[in-house]
Amino acid sequence: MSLADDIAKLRAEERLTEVIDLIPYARFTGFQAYWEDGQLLARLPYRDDHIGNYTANIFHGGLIGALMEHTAFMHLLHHVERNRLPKIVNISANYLRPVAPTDVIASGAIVRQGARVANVRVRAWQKGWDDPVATADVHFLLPKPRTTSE
Amino acid sequence: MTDKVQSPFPPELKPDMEAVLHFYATSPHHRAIGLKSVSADAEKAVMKIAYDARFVGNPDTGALHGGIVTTLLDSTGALAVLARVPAGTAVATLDLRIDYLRPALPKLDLIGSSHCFRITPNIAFSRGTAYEDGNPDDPVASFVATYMLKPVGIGMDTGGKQP
Repeated sequence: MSLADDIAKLRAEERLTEVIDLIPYARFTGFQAYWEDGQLLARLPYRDDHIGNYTANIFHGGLIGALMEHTAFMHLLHHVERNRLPKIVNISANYLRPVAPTDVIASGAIVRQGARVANVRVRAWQKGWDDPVATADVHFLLPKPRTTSE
Repeated sequence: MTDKVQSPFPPELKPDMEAVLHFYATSPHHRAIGLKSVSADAEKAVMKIAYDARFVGNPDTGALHGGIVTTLLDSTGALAVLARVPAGTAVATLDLRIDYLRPALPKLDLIGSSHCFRITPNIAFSRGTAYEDGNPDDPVASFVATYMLKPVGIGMDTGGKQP
């Protein structure tokens, strides 16, 4: 079984939040995924070794970028059904606030999905959705859609 | 990548690279992933991360997750800035953009290389690449980032407040 097959199985069984278990880096960082009010959310629980700057006691910015990239990927897996995996092209991340040592939550939204490329916008927050700590735009190359002959 | 950088800071205010490299070596997340500084001066900052199966993004290919590349380049870009600003200046990422040019080959250590090409009193600009160790001419990712500068000591005193 390939990762694409494993993910397709999870998707079919509506267990997409378990996709994290298939990705070593997502497990390593402790990413979580869950549904809330019909929305697929990702969470990065605080851990001491997520701190980049111990003087200011804030998360490493790279981890927040990683969380947003993972959120975009997971969001796309849920909303776009293809038999192979989307490939990330680029990410543009904005760091709006220092990220304090508590959990970070993120959600994604597809801004535009074309035949070959999708743009996903991600927002990350701590206190509440309306007080974002970071946002990102992520482009993915989409595999060809399933055809009826497959 | 050898832009002439005019510093807005008085020439007598030099970086304290010993303090910066100590700060980098003791960053909890740098330690957690084994991210190490290789060199840092006014021209170039270089960091390295050893390949580790825990950092894989696609278990079919063994390619590293983009998040590891992001972390490597964010830190490397900030190191290039820290090598050009007065001792005690805090640096915080304002934004960064990463283009993933191709998947990183499995089992190989990854190098981040960055150059700070413009500094103003408040904002510094870095760009650079990530590549497998020994293969600088065929990068896996390129990036550009801007950083906020704050003359308050390494680190920021804003903890949760707007910078």
